[in-house]
Amino acid sequence: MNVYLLYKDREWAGIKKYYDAKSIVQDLGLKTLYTNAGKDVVFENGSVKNIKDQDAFIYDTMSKVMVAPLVSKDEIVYRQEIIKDCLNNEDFIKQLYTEAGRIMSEWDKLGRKSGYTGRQDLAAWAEKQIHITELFAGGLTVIKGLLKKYRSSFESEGLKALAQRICIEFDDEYEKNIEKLIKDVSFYTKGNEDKDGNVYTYMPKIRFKGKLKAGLKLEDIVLLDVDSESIKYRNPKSTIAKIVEFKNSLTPNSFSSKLTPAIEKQVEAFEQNIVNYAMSFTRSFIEKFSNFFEQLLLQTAFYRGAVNLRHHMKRSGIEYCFPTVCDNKNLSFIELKEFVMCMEQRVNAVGNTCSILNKQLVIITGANQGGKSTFLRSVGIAQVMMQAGLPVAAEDFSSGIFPSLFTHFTRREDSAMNSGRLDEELGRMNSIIENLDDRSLVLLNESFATTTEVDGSIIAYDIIKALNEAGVKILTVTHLLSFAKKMYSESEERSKKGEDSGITFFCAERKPDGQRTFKMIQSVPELTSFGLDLYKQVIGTPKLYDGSED
Amino acid sequence: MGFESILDLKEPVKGLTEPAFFLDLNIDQILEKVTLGNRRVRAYYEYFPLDAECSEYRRHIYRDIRTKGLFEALTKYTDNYTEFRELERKKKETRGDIQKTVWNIYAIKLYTENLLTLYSDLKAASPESEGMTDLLNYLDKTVSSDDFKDKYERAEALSAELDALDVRVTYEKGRISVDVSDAADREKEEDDEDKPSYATYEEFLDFFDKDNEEEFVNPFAKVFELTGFEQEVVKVVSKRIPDWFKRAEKLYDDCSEFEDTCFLRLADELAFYLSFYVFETKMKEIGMEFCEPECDNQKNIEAEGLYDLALAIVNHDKGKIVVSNDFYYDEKDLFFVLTGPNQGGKTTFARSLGQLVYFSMMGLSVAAKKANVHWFSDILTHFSVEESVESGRGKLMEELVRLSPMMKHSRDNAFIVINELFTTAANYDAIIMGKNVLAHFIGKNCHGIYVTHLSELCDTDEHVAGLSAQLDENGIQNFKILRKKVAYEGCAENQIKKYKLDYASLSDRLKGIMNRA
Repeated sequence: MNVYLLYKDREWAGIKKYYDAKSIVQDLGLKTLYTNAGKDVVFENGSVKNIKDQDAFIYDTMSKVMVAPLVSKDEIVYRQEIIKDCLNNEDFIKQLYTEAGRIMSEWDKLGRKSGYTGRQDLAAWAEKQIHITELFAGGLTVIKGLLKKYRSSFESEGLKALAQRICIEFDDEYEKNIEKLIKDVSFYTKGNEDKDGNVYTYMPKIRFKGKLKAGLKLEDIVLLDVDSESIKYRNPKSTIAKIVEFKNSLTPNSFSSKLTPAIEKQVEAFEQNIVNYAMSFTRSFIEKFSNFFEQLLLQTAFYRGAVNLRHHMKRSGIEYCFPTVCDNKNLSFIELKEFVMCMEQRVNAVGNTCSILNKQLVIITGANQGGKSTFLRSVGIAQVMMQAGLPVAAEDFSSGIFPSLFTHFTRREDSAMNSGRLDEELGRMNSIIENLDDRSLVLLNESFATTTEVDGSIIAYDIIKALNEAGVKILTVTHLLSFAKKMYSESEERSKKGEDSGITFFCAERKPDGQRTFKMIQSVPELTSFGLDLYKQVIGTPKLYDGSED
Repeated sequence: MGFESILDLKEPVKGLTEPAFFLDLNIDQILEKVTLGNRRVRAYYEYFPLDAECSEYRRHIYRDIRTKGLFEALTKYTDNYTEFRELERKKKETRGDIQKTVWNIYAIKLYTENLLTLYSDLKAASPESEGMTDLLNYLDKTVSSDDFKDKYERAEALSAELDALDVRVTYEKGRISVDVSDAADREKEEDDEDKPSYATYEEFLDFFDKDNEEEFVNPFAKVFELTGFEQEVVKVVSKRIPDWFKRAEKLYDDCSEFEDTCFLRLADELAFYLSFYVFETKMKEIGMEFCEPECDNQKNIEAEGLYDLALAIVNHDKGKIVVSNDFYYDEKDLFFVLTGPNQGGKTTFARSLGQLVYFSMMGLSVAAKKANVHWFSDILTHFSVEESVESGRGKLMEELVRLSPMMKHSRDNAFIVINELFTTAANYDAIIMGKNVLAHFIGKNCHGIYVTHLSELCDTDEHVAGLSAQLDENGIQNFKILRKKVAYEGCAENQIKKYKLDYASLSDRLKGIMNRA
């Protein structure tokens, strides 16, 4: 049976991840997101009561699911709708996840990971099989009950379908029969039971027919009925037990199952074979639902994580929205926050509002500490969250779908001028290029900064121009001013001719008094960097040799 | 008329030793596939027929098996016979007296039914071979005797009555109650009120998995003796049908030793034909050709589409096909002298010739499209031991030591296969020795083939015909053997061309490899 909560038509298996997911996770700081998804925030009267310990399984699940992008609008909407249902019925998703977790951990205790051991040890096999069947049947009953209870409030296709599926695949008849089977063989596993002050014990009640064949051997045995009956336990040495035994022994044409030690053993072997035979019929049941429970735990963990992320947004006072899918050339958002930073620093950061329409290349320049990288990351994080079906930290967010998302960030500590580093950087770029396709988004953060500005600019120009012409969407934060300048003048020339270059430039906003707002605005690339600021600060306004005045 | 052996053997085979030529001709490899490692069956293949009549006797039987659809009937017979022997074993070994009498019923039933079925199957097929006709007559006599009929009817009746009886057991509150019922009782039961909604528990279990193939394991089947549980059950049953038990005892007293050992031997010896038939059928399915050899001593020895069966098996596993050849011995020809390039298929051809003779002598099909083979008294082979690290003189010595008894004790009219003799001797010496060997066997009216690189041996005398392995237009071996006398020239150049390792081709290949990279 299928869970189908992450995808409409498939389970979580063999899903394609981002090509270099590791870099994306590192560059965008997604681990913080996973961690917080694993920690529920409990509110009381609108304020935070406490934050729960991290649920390692949710962390693990988010780390898998978030880097496996959805590839179509339908897929994204499918998850968004389920998340909406979960946010409206938080108790439901919590209970479902808890039940799935309980089943899996009980199953672990029964030796799930040791796999399906052979049938050499019949007794061990039968006992394990009975316990697992009982566990699964009980779990399914609970899950079915939960889904039935909340069914009327569901609006998502995914949850509605799951509720319907479980009612069909584990219908009442199945539930009844599996309960009967477990009861039939309970003489095998159940110990004595106290009831109304008496001790009861389960005894088998078996009827079969057979033929006497060559050598009078009993063959062609057909089981007619198997059952267990709860009988008042009596000490075999007690008088009353002896009387009952004597009375029974008067039954004509019969013998006691304990007549001789040999017969006692044969009866035991007979019971054993019956239980093994009966339980062999549950193999397909267990097979069918074992994958179901594994999937259910993982898939509900994702939605549980989504609810937790929403709680973290609420805690920091961040607005959220469910992103909409638009053309790949467009990207627009209102009050987009860098969510990872917000969670790490427990702040509600400055948001950005942009509408970048019909642009394939966004070049962001400007002074350090101006919020450039934050801006780039906020877009990257929102893109990844959107492509996981999650809500994002913005009042509105609209973007295309890019299953081939790449990040190429030069981290500060990497910035030493060192040809080995450049080699490595170019190698990384090369492997990105080899894996590009027509739905690619590349986020470059100070790429090629491991060499001189002149060399870096030349490399960046060649690569980015070629990628741009090939139709790859790029957002790049750069220090390489010659490169930015060159791109800008080319873009200007084309606009003079009335063409749209598809390139746009952003800068960190600076108030006339030099104060930074940490907002990004569309503008002519700043041709000066922090160095000039510094120069100006320390020595005085430097002369610019390109004919302009500062 | 009595019946002795379907193989026309004077006495039953008792594990003979493998003839020396098996290894040289790779017949051991073929037989491994034919007998699937069964030593007892293999023994029949190691026993070479003593005369042409025996060979013919078998050939005709095998023809009946192939053409009259007797394979199924005979296989059924041998299988049932094995089962019958198992029942006899249990009957003899069991400790319980009641059990003995019941094993006996089933042993008689199986034995008599088996013979009756074989009889009717054989009769329906109307065999033509002497062997099968004799067998049919003998069976006719056996199954029509009054004694046989009496045994058969009594055993049938007793087993049918027991089969009709259901034993019903209820295990409840630690007690096991036993009841017996026949068809009439069963109808009554239909009305039982306390019954579950299903007729059998399996019907209930099928709800969960109707494709489950697991079957209930009968815990009593592990031993053939009655278990204590079964003994108690039998006690109740014997009280219910005492008459049946009396009759069973009577049948045991009347006949418990009834096996005619002639049928035992038949069941054993049939394995010879049946194993080969299975093998031949399998090989035909993968495209190999077989034929029944004509064995006309008046006509020349010849074959079309002859191939090395052992190589064909090996090649098939590797997905390669095997090259077949045609040949004929002229009226005056006694020996082939086969020369030609190395790796040209000389040894393979020589082996296929030896195999042809062997399988014809055994009365079986041969690996060719068409063949005529004479009767030979024996097959003698001499293959050089290639891996020998001994010095030249040592190797020559070793060859001569092996050759000597072969020459001295060979019967007249044997088939000789000699492969690369005297390679370490000087050519001058080797030619002389080779001619002597040829002359010796020709003198004994033997046929054979002599593989050598010395084409001079073709000139030994008028009874020798020269053959040679061929190269195609590119100088590559094509494994074809033609009647042609060719001097041996060496083939190092051909060999590197075959693998495209010469300068021109290798440079060309390398360009391709570089481009791809």
